[in-house]
Amino acid sequence: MKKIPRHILTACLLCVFVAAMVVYLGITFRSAKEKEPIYPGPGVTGQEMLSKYCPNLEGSAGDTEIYILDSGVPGASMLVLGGTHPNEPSGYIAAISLIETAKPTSGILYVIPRANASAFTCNDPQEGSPMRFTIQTAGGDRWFRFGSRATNPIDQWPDSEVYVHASSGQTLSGSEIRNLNRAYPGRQDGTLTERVAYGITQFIKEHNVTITVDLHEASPEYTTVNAIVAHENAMNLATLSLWELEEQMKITVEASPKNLHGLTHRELGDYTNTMALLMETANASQGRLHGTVTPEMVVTGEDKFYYRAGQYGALTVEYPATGIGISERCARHITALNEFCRSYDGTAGSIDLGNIPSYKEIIANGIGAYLASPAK
Amino acid sequence: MKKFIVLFLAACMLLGLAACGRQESTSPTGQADPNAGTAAVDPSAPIEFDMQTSEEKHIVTIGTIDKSLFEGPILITSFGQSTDASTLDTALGRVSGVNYTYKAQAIADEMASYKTVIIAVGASTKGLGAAGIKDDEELARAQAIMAKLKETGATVICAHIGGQTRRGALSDKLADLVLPQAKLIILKEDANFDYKFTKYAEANNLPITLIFAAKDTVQVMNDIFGK
Repeated sequence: MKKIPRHILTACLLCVFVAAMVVYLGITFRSAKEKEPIYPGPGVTGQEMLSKYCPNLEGSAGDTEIYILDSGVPGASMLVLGGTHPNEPSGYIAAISLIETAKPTSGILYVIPRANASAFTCNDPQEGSPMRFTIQTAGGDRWFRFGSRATNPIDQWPDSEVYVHASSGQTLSGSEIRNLNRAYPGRQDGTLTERVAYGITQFIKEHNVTITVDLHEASPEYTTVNAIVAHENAMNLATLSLWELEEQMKITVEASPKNLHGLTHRELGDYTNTMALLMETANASQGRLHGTVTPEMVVTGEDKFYYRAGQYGALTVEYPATGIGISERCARHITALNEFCRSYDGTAGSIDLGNIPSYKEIIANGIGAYLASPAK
Repeated sequence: MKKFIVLFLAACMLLGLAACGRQESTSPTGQADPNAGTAAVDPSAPIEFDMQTSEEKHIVTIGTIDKSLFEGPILITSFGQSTDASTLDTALGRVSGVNYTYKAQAIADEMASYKTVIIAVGASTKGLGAAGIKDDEELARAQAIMAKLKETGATVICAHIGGQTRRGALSDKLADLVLPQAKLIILKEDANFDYKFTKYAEANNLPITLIFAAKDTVQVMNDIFGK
């Protein structure tokens, strides 16, 4: 029998090894398409898909669920957007908590927990972020995906060299073409990201949504953090809410820049009648100063490098050694959402989210206490 | 030997592609003392000084306010483009029966239309940036407005309600422009850590209203402009 030359054998072995790695990594990558379960609570009265408002989304990776919590009592309405950036977890965890526990007593609450559903299916390249993290609930651990800031390039590719925002002509770097919060008001026949933005804009128009709040997180060194960003038509509401929130937390109100386009707090205020607001909390896993981003770090916020940066006065928020945990970040979002409803005194009537836990209760009990237990 | 090098390079490429190391990163110099070196001053850190307002007493007025000075038409404007002018807008908007104009970027030529001008003093780099206004341009606008108000004789209220974090070089310059023509100072008291405003009020026999929180502006506006 002819002996196989050793260099060919080595090459074959390497090919098999590489093929095995590709299959393994491919399976791992595709597993990010599995959605974390959401358990609709007693307040949920209906569910729709966003493609109802942008038919071009049907069957695409951008189609996403809209949860409706209708009190049955006429009043104002609020739309909460979580997961515009799925690497900012307190936004979608707070939104999911509302779906699972809130029961409005007047008005209607709409929640889109995974606004950019495609961006939940990948991570940002070269960040070494975990794919998932867990939060402890009364009935066991719940898992959630840690996604990307932008639409999965598998669903929208290639990026242009320069992103030209359709309605304003504003130019940004090419990768921003997959950023949902640079795509509003969106286009029915645009890119996947623009179609998602269009669907949300149409939803707001059709339902004449009174208040829209987009939940975000930002690096602790960023200037707009622990803040409410308000369109000018929502500035009074933001200020009234701030007066009450200041008694519980350090928070500021910032005006939505008129010359920065594509963002919810600018375009939804300009193109619809909604009062557009955006919230930012401090998330160490997003910043540039952190150490290894582990699933635990995403939840606890504990990071010795951010702690040190805080000691040097390099951050815009106080950063304790124990971190700024997801419970505190969700508590900020949920308390502010509740306060927006309480402070609203416009002509659409009242909106009451019902028995929402207080800021102190969420921090004391942990956000897991306000999430459903996982199904057995 | 060549094969080992090839294998080593191939392994390096594979590991490089994975790029998801979870190993705890360590500083080559070990744990630094966070208190060592040139620690910057945190502008939001509380500064100890004697405050006259408190959780129990939210509003303190030193001196006598002559309400008859504050006639309509009223303008609220901003020197520094912070959201403090918007806060005053919200506060005055809750006082019934008051007609006023809110214009954060009002110009000098508009001043002839108003008998009372409330100026929210306090620079915000974010606010100026968002409005596309440079520091020098804002200072020039403020100087022109104050010169015009001197001509018209309108009553000026200097409102510094952004607190300690709103103090800074540009904010102080803007405040120094307004104070000589002000008939009343409204101040969120944590901004008075160096007693700048109370000292000025005392030296110039000017009434000053100290507030504990921004929401106290509603009560202050009601006290001044309420029927």
